Amino acid sequence: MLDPSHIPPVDDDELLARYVTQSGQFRKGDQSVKADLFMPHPHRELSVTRHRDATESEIWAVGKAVALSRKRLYGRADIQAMHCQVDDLRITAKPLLPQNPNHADIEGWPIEKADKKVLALRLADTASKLIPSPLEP
Amino acid sequence: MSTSIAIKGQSAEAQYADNSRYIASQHFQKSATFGRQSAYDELFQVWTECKKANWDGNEALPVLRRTYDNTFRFLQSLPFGCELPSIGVEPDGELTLEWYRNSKWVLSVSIGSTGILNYAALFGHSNSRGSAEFLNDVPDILMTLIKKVMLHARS
Repeated sequence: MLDPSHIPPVDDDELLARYVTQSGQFRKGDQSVKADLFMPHPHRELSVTRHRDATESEIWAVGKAVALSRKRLYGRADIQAMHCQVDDLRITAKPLLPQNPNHADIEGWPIEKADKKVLALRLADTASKLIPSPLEP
Repeated sequence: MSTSIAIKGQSAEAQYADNSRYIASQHFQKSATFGRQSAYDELFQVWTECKKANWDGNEALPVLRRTYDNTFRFLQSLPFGCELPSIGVEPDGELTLEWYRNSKWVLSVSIGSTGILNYAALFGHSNSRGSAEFLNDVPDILMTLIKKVMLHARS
């Protein structure tokens, strides 16, 4: 994981993980993820986890912690940072210490819900398909 | 099981025709329900997973029973033969209905407890977005967008 005492800004070529905790967030047919996965909380930004300096097992450990209160972690979808910079969206490193120094927020969401949905559709378009969690059966 | 039938015609032929129409309509309703059962099942599964707050581990709002009911009624009101959407959920507690061909041709409609529908669609490099009110009929604008996405599916 990133050194908590030295958190660099997010580079365009970094990969970001978004965890899938709900069956309706991906399509059963082709395992692609829906825009729903990229809709921000109404009062917050959209949380992602940076791959930078993290091992695969560390990335999954963060996902497991995110899903701790849930029955299961279906997996994650990865998206390149540059593809998140749509319209006014930007990515800011927001380490959650000590648990997750790799935490970042996608900020700059519009106010109107329909406008948010268009951006979420565009993020989903460039994200990877569901990467199943190795921690689940 | 007995069934009461409103007989409108006077002659035996008219009664037979009315009876046949009634039976046909019953078959139609049953097949329509059967055809949508998969969407109803998916709706119930998503609602069950998300009816309690924090279903995403990030303080998502719960999906209210009224939101579930509105979504159920929306599905019921889709015209017979209309392709069924897949069901999803957003962290503000609204359910989503999605018509999907591929990641660049897709329509997503959000339904909450108020009956206001927020929608967004991608059509290749263009998009459409807006809101509409659900008054027990699918708004014309959404039927137009559904057809646009699904007709692309066949092109």
